Amino acid sequence: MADKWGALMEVRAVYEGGEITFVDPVKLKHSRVDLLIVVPDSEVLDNREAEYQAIEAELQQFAKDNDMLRKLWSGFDGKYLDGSAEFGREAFVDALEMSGKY
Amino acid sequence: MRNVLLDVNFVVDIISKRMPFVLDAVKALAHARACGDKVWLYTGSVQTLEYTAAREIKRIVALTGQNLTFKEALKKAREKLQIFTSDVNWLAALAEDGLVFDEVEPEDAQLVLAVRRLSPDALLLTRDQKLIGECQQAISPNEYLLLQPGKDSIAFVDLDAQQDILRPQLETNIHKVMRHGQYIMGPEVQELEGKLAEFAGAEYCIGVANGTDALLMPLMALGIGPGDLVLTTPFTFIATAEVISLLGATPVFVDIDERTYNIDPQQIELAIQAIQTGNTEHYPLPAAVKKNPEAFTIKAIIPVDLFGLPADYDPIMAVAGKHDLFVLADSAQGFGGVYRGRFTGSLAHATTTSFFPAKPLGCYGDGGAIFTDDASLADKLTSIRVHGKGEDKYDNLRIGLNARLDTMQAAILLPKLESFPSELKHRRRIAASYTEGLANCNSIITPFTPECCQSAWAQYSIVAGNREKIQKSLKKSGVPTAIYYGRSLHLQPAFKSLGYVEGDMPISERISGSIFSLPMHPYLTEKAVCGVVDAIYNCFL
Repeated sequence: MADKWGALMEVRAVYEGGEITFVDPVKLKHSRVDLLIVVPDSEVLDNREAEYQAIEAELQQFAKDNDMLRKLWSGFDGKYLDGSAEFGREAFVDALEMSGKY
Repeated sequence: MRNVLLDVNFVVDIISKRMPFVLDAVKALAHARACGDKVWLYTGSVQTLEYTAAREIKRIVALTGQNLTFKEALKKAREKLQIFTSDVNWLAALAEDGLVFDEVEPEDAQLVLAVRRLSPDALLLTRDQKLIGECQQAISPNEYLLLQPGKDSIAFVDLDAQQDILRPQLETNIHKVMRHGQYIMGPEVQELEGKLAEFAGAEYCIGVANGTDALLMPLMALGIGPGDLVLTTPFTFIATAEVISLLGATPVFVDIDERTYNIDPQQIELAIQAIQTGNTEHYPLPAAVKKNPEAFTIKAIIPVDLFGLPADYDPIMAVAGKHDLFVLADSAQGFGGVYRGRFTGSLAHATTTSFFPAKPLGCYGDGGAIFTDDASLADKLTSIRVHGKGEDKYDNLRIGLNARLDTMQAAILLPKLESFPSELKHRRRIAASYTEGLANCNSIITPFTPECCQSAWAQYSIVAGNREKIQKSLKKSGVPTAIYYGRSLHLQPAFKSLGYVEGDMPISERISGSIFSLPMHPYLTEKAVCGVVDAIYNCFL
């Protein structure tokens, strides 16, 4: 990565409200420059998580006007399942086994 | 309105808030409600639903830091399924659904069979891409959201809405008959007859094949035939007078009361006097009677409880008593109507009703019943119902009919009779809403109900001068109407030989030229009633 730029200089910047601002003033030669930013892993939001949070917000809107949905989701406290892993019939068989009925 | 069958994955997505599918499922469910589509679940899916939902609930609850045993999760799943299914229709699993073990996915094959049975244009809502690929009726929630709502229309009579409520008991009863196999005069017939008699306040009820046989049989039992006269209204369905002619007797039409549209008791007396005194110019009579009144004997009166409103029985019974006439009440539309605190069925010497599907108490085919307090008449009717049987059907005492009420129809009527009192209340409420809503519409006449009566509201019929124009305009607004009856019986070609002419029954002729009926059934919503009322006002703008 460094090959593209040659020697690199570390500069402090702040990300706020979608914009990055230098903390220490730095003057750049060009009006548009590609920069290399270092972001702590702990700050990165998983795309899927973001998508699910947006869906959750929309679901809350639906539930606001729908008594049945409110009752169905009571006790889940804003939690939701990641259904991206398909279960299908395995879920049923799994459940049957867990039930100990058969 | 479309029929939409939900796959298990759709339901579990919603119940267990399974991402990202839950959003499309919730949207699709809201779309179904907004479109007025009917949502179904297949009863064969119950076990998969509860176990899969339990598993997913166990998972989601674990995210909140709690750990449910599977038994606890199953309990929660059942609670949530109870909530979810409180507003859906259950589609029965049938025997053919068991023949699926040679299929790759037996459960999917069952759903395909079920959705095909539901109707050829029903939809199976699923996110199972394989199922969508294999079944033309399967559709994803996303695709479903793109469908436009079906045209919102008001049903003239909505038997589907009633079936949605009574389906479990109806299907159970049909199944019972299929299992016991007593298709003719099975136990359901006797059970129904007992309950009908109790409801009507009559000693005896005889279930018969249809409303027309119900009218014919008492006349047969009385031995009515050629040379006999039976007085009746010209403003009714042809069956009322047809049975008189079928037996070779002669119908004498008596005009109706201009407010109730039922036979006018005062005119009954006028007609009788004209016949008995030979002053045949005093009342319009059949040509043969005019010519030779002595050749005829007046035997009976058939009043009709038109549109559900009981006829005026006190004066009718008084006239009948004075002249020793039999009164056979045609309550084909009037079962459930009340006259001076008594139900129809107990107001005349005998009363008939019809269980034609569109009637207030209707079956799923033809059916009828006769009510009487007269044991001897009831015996004769029971005999006539089965080829004039005596000890058995091979011992034939008289000429009779094959006029039994089907066991299957009786089985269908039993749960319908249970909900009948509540349906009558709804009909009365809806009629009151129509009358109130139309109170300021001076161009129409709403139905008149005497204080001593409660109508069964088989029809809500209004009179207007420009009927055709109004009907056309209402049709454009999605309001169906029907004309009962567009031509008085005395002017029907079938009764031409009686020699009646236009002008003989002026009130009946005037009303038949201007009356029409609005949608009426117990499941009509207030919104729909308001829609009809508004549409009528709009006709006069």
